[in-house]
Amino acid sequence: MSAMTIGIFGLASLIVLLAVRIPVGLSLALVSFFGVLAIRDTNAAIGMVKSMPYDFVAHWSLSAIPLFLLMGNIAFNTGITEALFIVMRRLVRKLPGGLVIATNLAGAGFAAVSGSSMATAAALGRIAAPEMLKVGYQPALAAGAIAATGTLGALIPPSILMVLFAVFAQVSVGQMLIAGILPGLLTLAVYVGMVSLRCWFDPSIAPRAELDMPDAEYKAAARRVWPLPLISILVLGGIYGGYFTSTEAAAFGAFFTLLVTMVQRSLTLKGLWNSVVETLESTAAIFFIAVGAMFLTRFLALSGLPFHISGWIDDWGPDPLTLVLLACLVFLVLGMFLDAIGLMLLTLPVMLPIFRSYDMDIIWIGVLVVKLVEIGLMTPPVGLNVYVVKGVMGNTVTLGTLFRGVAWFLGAEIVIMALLIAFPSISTFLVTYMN
Amino acid sequence: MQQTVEDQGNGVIWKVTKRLTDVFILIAGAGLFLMMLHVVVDVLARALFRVALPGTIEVVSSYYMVMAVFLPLAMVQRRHAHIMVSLFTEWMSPRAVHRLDTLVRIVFALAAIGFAYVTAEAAFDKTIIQERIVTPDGFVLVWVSRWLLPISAVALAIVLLCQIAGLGGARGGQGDPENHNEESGA
Repeated sequence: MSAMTIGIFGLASLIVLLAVRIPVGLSLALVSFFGVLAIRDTNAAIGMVKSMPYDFVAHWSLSAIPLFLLMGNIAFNTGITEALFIVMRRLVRKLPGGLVIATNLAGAGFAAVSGSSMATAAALGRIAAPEMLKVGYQPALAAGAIAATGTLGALIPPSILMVLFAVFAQVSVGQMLIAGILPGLLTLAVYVGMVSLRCWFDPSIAPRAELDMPDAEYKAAARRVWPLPLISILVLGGIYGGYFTSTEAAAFGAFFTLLVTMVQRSLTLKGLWNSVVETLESTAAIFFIAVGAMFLTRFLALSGLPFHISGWIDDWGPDPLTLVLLACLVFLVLGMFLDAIGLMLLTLPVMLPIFRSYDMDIIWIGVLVVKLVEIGLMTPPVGLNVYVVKGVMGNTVTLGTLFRGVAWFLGAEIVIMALLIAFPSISTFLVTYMN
Repeated sequence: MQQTVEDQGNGVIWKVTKRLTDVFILIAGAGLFLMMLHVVVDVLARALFRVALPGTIEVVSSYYMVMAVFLPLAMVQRRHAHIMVSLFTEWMSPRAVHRLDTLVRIVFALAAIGFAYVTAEAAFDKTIIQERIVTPDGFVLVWVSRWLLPISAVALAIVLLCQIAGLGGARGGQGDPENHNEESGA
């Protein structure tokens, strides 16, 4: 059997292993191990397992991941998302669909301290959903907005997906994080615009209601969230100005979030313990897949498959736009079934060499990839953000209603993706002026 | 954020295993906090006194990171938080899913034992040569952290073997439609 046939057979086996509930990281490792063994020999396969996991994990840039996760989890466990929603609700109360817009803005604010979209969706689902349903908002609109808003977490830095992409694609982690800012804000603007227009045309889906909100509650919430912009400026400004590496920014971000929540007395010992356990669990689960993806990269490189695919594409000779659209299609289809990190790390070993052969800007590609895998969190049948919101909202909304609500945001995503593809400078503009 | 389901198992072996995973999480948590503090102190020292703490990058990469990534693996398995795809088996009965999960755990346990063996061999080799990273101010011994890999893999294998033997509760959370444990928190 030729090396390339083994490569194709390996990818097919991977799908089977994933389908029978073998953890993603283990599936990747098993396929790669036996693949390398078949192409080379036992020594090569054992050598890979012996050295790669340690060498990959003992990596300065990757240490930003647990620190960013810690920062987000502390913020999550101290109820900062809820406080953000209360503040935003007050600020945009006059706008049509004010509570949905407040949800979008609170999600963006939380995204500035958290790299996780599902944490954002879960927190907003708890506070924003009952509020919206109470004043008669259409359940599909309310629930869909929460599930979609969660995806801002992966674009607005810090972002775990961006760090992982940067390390795999061997581009600067700091540049990748900064590249997410404008696309994140664009997403927020398009969401807010779409919601405002819908509510303006059809006020029945979001009836205006006088909010029952005492001043004291608003002031207490505002007191809790004011440090957030400062922490965000510290993290992003530090990276942008070249004062910090991404790991240093992450350490400072986590440290200040801890300090602020301790001073505010919102962090209990239980909250701290939960934050640490959730951080470590996510870290181990993410790196388990990442190590598996490193194995797969080695296996596929040995099989020569990515280079053959590049060759086929060269022979076919599509223009770069067709290639990007084709990649979008692949990500959208796979995103219906796979989790964000699994999807991204599974596809990069094959896709990156192709993008590189076209001499495309890898930072721009990274933004598109992260955006696409996040869209996968909203698409049926496996739209994890949607399930998180369903879990939080329980029987107040059916899964069908939820996916119908999300469909409007998926429509908005088509506009956003079109803009990001048509104008790569949205992703690269800030990076160009970085120190 | 991970949605996880805790096992409700009993028995001395499972209790000891749970305690072991808790201890590992405590050590990894200490590593996480030290990583944060070490980096913050290093940056402040550089900014205020123009002095860098020696070996920060090496200690963060080779110790704190390795602790934070590998030591929690057993806890992740204990709480069924490993990321996987459950879409294609949703049509199966809970009993069939449980059987399939037992089979998967056997494969996983074998892989964990194999990984422990191979990485222990690597750690032994590095111990013999006293592996170190040379820094401008001296060197950092790193062979010690190599042992965290086989130790973590053995703990993972123990949790898996307990779950296979049914010590960790009858269903152990997996196969439960409410347990969407394919999420990654991203």
